[in-house]
Amino acid sequence: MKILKKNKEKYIILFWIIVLLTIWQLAATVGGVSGLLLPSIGEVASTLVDSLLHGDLPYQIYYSLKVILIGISIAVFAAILLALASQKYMMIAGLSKVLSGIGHPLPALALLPLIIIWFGTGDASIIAIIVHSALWPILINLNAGFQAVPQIYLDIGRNLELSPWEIAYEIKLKASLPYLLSGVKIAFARSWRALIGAEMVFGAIGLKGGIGWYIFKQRTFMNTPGLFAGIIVVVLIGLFIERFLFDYIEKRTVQKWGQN
Amino acid sequence: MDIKLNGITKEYHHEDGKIKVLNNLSLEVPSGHFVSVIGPSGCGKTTLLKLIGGFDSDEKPSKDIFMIFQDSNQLFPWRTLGSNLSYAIMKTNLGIGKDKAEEKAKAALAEVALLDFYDYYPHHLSGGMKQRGALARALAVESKVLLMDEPFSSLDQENKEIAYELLLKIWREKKLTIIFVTHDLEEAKRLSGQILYFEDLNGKIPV
Repeated sequence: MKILKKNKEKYIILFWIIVLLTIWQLAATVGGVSGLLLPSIGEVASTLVDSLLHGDLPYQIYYSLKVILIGISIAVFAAILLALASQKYMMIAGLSKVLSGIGHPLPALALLPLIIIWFGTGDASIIAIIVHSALWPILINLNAGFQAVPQIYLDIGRNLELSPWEIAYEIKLKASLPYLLSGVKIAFARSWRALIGAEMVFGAIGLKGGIGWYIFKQRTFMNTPGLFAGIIVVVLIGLFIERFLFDYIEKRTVQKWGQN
Repeated sequence: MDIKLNGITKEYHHEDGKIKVLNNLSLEVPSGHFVSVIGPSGCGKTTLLKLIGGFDSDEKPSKDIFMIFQDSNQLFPWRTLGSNLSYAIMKTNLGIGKDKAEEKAKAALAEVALLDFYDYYPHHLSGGMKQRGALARALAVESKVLLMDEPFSSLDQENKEIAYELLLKIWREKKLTIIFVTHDLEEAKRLSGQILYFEDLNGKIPV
């Protein structure tokens, strides 16, 4: 019954995708909408393929993914250190609460001018924006995860004479993995949005900038098919990472362990 | 390993004031004995076991005195049954290799008739199997004393009988010291000829 319902959902989603694409194509071709405002699917697809084969888009995709990976890795590492230290020292727990209380609601783009003053307009600024976007949801979730670790696991760890570091890694981190993954998913969503926006502002950082800069350049040249192509790339990468990569990680860990 | 407690008092703070859970309690259990401690729920039996095990005192717990908890979810869910045991063996026997640890893990699982489930994750096991897995872990790390806190309370009668037979067999073969806490008098009589009533432990009761 569950499988039937899941298949039905898939067909409904597919149905709506086809309907929306059809509306788009009809509006762009026979609907009388200007090509400057709404290019046809064919024009967008052609521009996308051209940018991938002959343009800078592959490098720009690589650059965006590279900086987000570096930024989220730094955020995960910092969150784990802070969360573990918070377990042991009340002063650090208090600091962690104050910092996440201030940082979490603050949009990364609001910090942009300050980050430019502090870090300049290179890679460091982009990574700082990603770290800011990612750190707080991961830290908040990880703290919640550590609080939720069943006491029985900690007692077993003590019975096995595990050191505090072994208890932290083998028990606290692993038992909190569902919370950590949840935090990283939220962190990616926030960071991805902040990254694209920041790239539009910063311009051609690295060699040729990232996807955000690709989109911004299309606007400069009034290349609407290129604009749409860039947007589609942002959506597809976001979907791929959220739907496939995280799903894959969850299937190999928390689902396999019965922890979801 | 003998277990000796002498004149222990343990209090907890409650909104209504202090509650004395253990009141000048004394207990002696010589090595190799199987003793059941019986008392109603909430009287302090778990506190007693945790004290003996070093969980609730200044002493650190040690693998020589291993606790089997009431909650059947005491295996680490991120490791298979076999990996739970081999990890425990490697951590309590520094220097032992992975292959040797796996060999010992398999031997311990064979004793509790769970060898076929070596590669299973705990969430695929029944409550009774998880408790047997926890018992196998205690055997694998070569504990000398087992502190058992109503470990079979959630099992049906059929699985309880299997667990009782297994426990008694292991006790006889390994000459372990076992302190088994329960609120069920029939269970206590089934497992042990030496039954201590919790409320009597305020005076010194040599076993």
